[in-house]
Amino acid sequence: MLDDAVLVERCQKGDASAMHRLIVRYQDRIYNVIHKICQNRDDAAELTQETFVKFIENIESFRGHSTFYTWLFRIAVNLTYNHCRRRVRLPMQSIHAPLRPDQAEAAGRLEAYLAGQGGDDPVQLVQDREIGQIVLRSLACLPDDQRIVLVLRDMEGMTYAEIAEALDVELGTVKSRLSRARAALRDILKSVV
Amino acid sequence: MINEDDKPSLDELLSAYLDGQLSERRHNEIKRMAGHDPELAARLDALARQRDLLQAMPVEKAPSGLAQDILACLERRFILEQYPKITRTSAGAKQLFARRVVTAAAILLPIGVLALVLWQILGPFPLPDGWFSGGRNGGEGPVVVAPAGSDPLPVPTVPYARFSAVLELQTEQTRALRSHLEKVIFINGLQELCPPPRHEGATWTYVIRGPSARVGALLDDLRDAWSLCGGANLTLHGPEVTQAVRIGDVTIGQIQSLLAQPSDLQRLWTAERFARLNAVRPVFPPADGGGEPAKPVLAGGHEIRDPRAEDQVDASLVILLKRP
Repeated sequence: MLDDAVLVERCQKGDASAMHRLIVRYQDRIYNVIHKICQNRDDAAELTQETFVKFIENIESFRGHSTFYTWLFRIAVNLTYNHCRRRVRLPMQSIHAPLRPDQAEAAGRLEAYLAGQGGDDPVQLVQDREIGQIVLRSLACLPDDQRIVLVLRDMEGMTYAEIAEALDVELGTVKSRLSRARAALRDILKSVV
Repeated sequence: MINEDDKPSLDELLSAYLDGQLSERRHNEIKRMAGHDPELAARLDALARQRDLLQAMPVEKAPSGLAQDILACLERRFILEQYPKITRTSAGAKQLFARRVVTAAAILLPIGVLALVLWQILGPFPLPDGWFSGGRNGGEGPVVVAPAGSDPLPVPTVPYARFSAVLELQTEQTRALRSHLEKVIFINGLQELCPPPRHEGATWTYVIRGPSARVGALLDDLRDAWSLCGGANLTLHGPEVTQAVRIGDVTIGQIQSLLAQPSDLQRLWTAERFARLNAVRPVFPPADGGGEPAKPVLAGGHEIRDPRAEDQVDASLVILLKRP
């Protein structure tokens, strides 16, 4: 498999096939992160498209000071962050609406898992659509900057340094923002389940 | 027990501990504390479970065809970006410039044609410095007009005179007119400057040379005999031999006006106006001697004449008396 740097270099020379390969390589990861942050499929598709278009338009200015991966995620996060700021936020009380029986059952299983009382494998647990929805809705209640850090770290698996580079913030900011995001999510999940 | 005041920093430490971002010393310290503090251990465990839960969240796949959509979008943007560059900066500007040129031409062309027509009607003759000199007569140089069906006109007898012209008078009463002409030549003191008249067939030729003032006075005196003429044509010569304007049905007043013009150019210009005027408005013979056409004299014509040149021979008038 060709290295990102090689493909980027080819892209800079106008190689359309290299462009296509980079898009195919990263489109799912970019889309997933954006979807987790903005939680809307159509918006996520549009923002993913815009991310790659912006990347191609600015590829001449890419000098390789950072990795292509963090550069691409930086574009995606900035676009998504701006999108989130324009959007009306999900009100907190909507997550506390009365649960249907199936939702209540899912919430019970999630509560048991988080309390360490259930032996469910998290991978199996989130296969439950209701549990997945509860997690996503709880995530949506976080402030944008905290949600973004949490998604990049726990869902995308970026290192602190990569997150700091993608968000253009200090490493210490990433640490504090991440710890506050985890604590806030814990409180939200507790209140939901 | 966990000190609540240390909670924020502890959360940060626990979070970093989970992610393996602590130094080895700090990492071991947290590990040791968690081993001794069940509450801290539970908190760490809850954080780990929450992290595992997020990590386990299913990955959302991009919609199929997204790559093609992206490439299509790029193509569209490329075309849209190129389009204004092509149309506005090059073709558009050229088209706009061409349109402006055409518009200006459409405005200027009728103005030019109108100006040319006006120039043809009112303009001086000949045009200065050969400018458009061929336009009036098909590019063949200045106008030479000879009376149709007549003999070639005599060449003016003074090589260059301010006024140089040939006056043809057609008359049935040659004798009376000759008598009057010779009388006025004498009265105006021009007999010494004029050779004896020549007689060829039905034509008598008088060559009159002298100061323009005296020639003008002669013409004034000739006015009394004008009624004896059946027709009068004047051919005025310019400084070049090939320059000539023929005025049909010329009047004494017109000849005097030409004599009074301060420059060759103005004289020729005036002569052409007279020629054109007389061509559309026959004035000969005048009904009562007062029906002469207007006498266009350029401003300051008389005033700028040099008084010292009063006796200078600067006029040459050849008078042809012809029996029709």
